[in-house]
Amino acid sequence: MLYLIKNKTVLILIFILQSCAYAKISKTDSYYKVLKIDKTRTRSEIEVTPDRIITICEKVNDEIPDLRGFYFLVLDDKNTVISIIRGNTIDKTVCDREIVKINKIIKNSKTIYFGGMHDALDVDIEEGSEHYFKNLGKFKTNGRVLQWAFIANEKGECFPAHTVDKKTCPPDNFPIGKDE
Amino acid sequence: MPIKPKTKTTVVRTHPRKVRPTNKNPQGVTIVDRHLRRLPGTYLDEKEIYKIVNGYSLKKIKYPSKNKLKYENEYAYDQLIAIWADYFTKLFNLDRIIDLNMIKALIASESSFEPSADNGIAYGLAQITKQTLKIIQDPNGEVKDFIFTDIRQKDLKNPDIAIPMAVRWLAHKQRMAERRLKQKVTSEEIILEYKGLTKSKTDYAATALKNYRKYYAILNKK
Repeated sequence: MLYLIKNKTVLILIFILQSCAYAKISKTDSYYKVLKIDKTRTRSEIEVTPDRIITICEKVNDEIPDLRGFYFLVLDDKNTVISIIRGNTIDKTVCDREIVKINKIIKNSKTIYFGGMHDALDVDIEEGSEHYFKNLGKFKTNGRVLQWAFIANEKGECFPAHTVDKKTCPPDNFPIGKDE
Repeated sequence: MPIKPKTKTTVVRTHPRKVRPTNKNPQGVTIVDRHLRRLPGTYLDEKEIYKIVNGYSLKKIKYPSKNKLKYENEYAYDQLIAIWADYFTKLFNLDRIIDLNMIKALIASESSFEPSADNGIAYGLAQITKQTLKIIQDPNGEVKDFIFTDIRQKDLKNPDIAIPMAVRWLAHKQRMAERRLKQKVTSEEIILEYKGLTKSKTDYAATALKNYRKYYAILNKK
């Protein structure tokens, strides 16, 4: 120990090695998985780790300064980014309020589940804008879009896009049934 | 050419009205001041909405597509959409019927067919906002040629009320988009106008349009 304290170079080296090992573990733990898509490819369910999710309240119209578009950017297993959007534009106060609740669900969990309309493996893809995911890097959108239905975590905390009654989260058309 | 009634209002003279007698007003008569009243055919209230729906001839009207979007209640409002699209197309003397699949795809994207959808600012199937509700009932506002009256915020969660209001608002947005773009507009341009995204160059606007397109494509698939 005395040797280590005396020799700062060795200490720094150990610190760097430890950091690298930790980063490797974190990266290994990070994943994205399409759980299910129904037969008609109109609904999808996704499982993903929180580090692969960005939440955004975007100002969408200079003439209506309080109008916001809310969406998630989710890094997939091919390291491209899928958009999961709230289909209707909303007021800034609503967006700010909801993003806090949603971020709490994301922050307090190891696994996140999304339900959304459309096909999470849509073949109609196109490269788009670039986004930065902390600890993972910069990645481009792939043009895939889901309309957000709900977000939940492994603890059962759930937030729906539209249903007022939180008891009906996930909404009625989720989860996707076995034969669907 | 939209119908433009020569007069939308009539003057109601000062007149007495019988009310329930009270200690303060034992005679049970009150005086109503001179005021304006909108003429029939230039507005809709709840009573008139139900009267129209219940008496509407369903024989020749067109319905939106039955193609599945995979929502629980997706077919529940087809008849209301059909009636009100037909009603406003005729009322405003439009060249073509208000696009039925556009209305249905809009509802899918706005509320996922959830009639009680409520985020504190927007309500119901078509997510009509408090501000839109105010405009659509303003006799001196941008849709003064045909307004709704006595509709309360909570009524927007009632599909019987929300759908005619949404269709009327879409007809207005169609006119606005045509004026802005100086040409006949597509359903996508109307939807962008409805969502307040016409001039938006944001990622959200592009993605929201793509989302709408997916619903619309399913509904229009033969």
